[in-house]
Amino acid sequence: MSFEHLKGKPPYPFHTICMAVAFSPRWESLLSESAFLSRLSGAKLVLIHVGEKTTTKEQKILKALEARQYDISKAQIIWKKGNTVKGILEACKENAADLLVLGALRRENLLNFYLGSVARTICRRAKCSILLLENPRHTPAPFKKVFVHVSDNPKTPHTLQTAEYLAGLYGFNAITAVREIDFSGVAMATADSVTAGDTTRTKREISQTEEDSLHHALKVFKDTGLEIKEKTIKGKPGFALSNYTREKKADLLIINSPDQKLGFLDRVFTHDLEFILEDLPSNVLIVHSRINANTSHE
Amino acid sequence: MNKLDHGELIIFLCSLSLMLISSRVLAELGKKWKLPLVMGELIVGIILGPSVFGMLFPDSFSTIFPSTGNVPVAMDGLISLSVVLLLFVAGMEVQLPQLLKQGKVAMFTSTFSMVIPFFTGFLTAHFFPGFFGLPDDGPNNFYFALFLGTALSISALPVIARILMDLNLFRSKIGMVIIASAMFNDLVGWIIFTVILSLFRKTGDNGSVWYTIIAILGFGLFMLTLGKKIIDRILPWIQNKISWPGGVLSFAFSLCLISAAFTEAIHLHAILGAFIAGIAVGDSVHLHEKAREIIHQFITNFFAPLFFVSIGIKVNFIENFDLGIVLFICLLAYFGKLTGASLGAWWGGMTGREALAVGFGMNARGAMEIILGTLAFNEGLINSQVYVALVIMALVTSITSGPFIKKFSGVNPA
Repeated sequence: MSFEHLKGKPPYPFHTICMAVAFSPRWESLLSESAFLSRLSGAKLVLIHVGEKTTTKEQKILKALEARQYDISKAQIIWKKGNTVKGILEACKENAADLLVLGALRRENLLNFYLGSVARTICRRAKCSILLLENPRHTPAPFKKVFVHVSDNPKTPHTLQTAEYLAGLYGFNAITAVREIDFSGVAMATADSVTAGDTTRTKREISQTEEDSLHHALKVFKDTGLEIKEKTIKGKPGFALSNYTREKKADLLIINSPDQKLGFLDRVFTHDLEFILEDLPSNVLIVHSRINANTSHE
Repeated sequence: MNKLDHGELIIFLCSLSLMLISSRVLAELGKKWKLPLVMGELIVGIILGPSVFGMLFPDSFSTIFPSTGNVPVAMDGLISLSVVLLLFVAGMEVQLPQLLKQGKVAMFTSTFSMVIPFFTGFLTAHFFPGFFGLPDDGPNNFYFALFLGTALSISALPVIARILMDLNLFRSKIGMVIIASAMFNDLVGWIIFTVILSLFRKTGDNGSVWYTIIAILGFGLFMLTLGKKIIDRILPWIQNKISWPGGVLSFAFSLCLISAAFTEAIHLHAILGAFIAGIAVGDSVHLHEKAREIIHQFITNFFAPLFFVSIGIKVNFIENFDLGIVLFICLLAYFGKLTGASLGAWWGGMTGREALAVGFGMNARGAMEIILGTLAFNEGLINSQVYVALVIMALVTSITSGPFIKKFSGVNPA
């Protein structure tokens, strides 16, 4: 099967929404959330189960869909065998998923985090957007307080546009665009022979550049009815964003997908997305833009 | 117990004061020409040391900087502490996530900018020891060759960071690649150097190679995984519950010193413990930026001048200056680093000009090279001529780095 047609395709609108069914205690709440989003977007719902196909399991899924008054003809159940992560990723690829909905614990124990749980491993490898729900609700409600991370990455415009698309679906009318200011290296570069004024000026210049970049990035929104709040925060990328989102009790944090597959070393020497996965600050939408960030820097 | 008597204490304090104030004066003068701080400190050492002051006024020199009694012992203790703290602060700026974030281009640049200079230095010293004033079959030639390879492969993060910030390139693609690669070079370079020093100290002990490697890897892995997690738990508590910045400074320095003592006790070198402790503390997301600045300021403006001035006081730069060795080491340094770093950056996906800018950025050796050379000289691994040549190479590469980065990057600020 060729997937060439997917290259460069924007991450929105959602035509196909996948959901991994593990029959965990929260799976029905997750199904409620996925069905809710599928209805809002008009997307097809694909339910993926990695494991033996049995009539009992199938009936359980169909019954759950019926209970949510979901039109079964718009849903599809995919059965996969073998490795869970591989099976889910394969099914997403085969169905050209625009979004995969996953449930995840807010925080995992250290061993699980290093070894990599199913949900987090998928986040590190997936080639489609992922909605990671920390606390799926049986009766879903739209997200209200939404934060979007803005960085220099060429994927950011797509991420911002996806936020705008979601605003249309869920009906929220404000988003907070957050950009981090990282002062690492400044202490080292200014420790020897600069005056106190020089250090302050250097920091002010860095802050100003970041604020300008944030402002510039938001020009992607044209004639939108959305109220955009701009916010710069100081600290290590990923960690500062995670803390700020938690502190402000946001419902949803929207971020770019990683530029490359994240591995074990990225967990040991935690950075960016890994800080967020380490301790989920809220529900997280990882937007997978199908442009190649590594070749688009120039 | 031996202790400084009344007169010795006065001399000790006066000599420290003289070293600090004169290096500050020269550093401020050098700022006008954007010369690295370390250059002013070295020049002060040369002026105050046997090369100038000692030659012109030998009696006054031996009064202020006596070579017998308790003063040199106290001075040696202070200088040793300075080296440990300098390595701690160097480690604090090594942030391995940066390397992972920069991906392929940084991986290629850092690897090539280590491997090519290393083999340039190692093979030259191994096959032509005579160029460095060594006998053809000297017992320590192998260790010297390993050392020279390592010395040519490290970079100097603080100098590079300063240059990039002056050129407004610190946050640019070129700047990030240079910084990430230099961090990796520093990490690997110091680890290799510690292995060499440990082996050199225990020459002839066959079991020592594996012991040294396992001990270094074990200590490093512990500190950078579990140790770092423990620090991440302790730091927020210290910063919130204990007086600030006193609490965090006491914690950081005591961790540095105990780690240094531990690595020295297991027959590695104290610098490794300090360096790795620096990485673990510096990488913590809970370390306030202000605390980081205070640690930097304190070490850079008190311990660093004492250390770099003491170099000129210990070694006669005029007597030990050998133009041939100086030129040869400079040539090897430029060739190895420019070829390695540029090739790596180019292979990693940068344009030819960008790759050359990266090459010149990585070529700055600065204070790190001088510390490395001093430790090797103190251990008897290199002779005075090579030491002087390394110091000069460190200065020349640092001074030339900025203009060449500017030329090849086109100073296209991010």
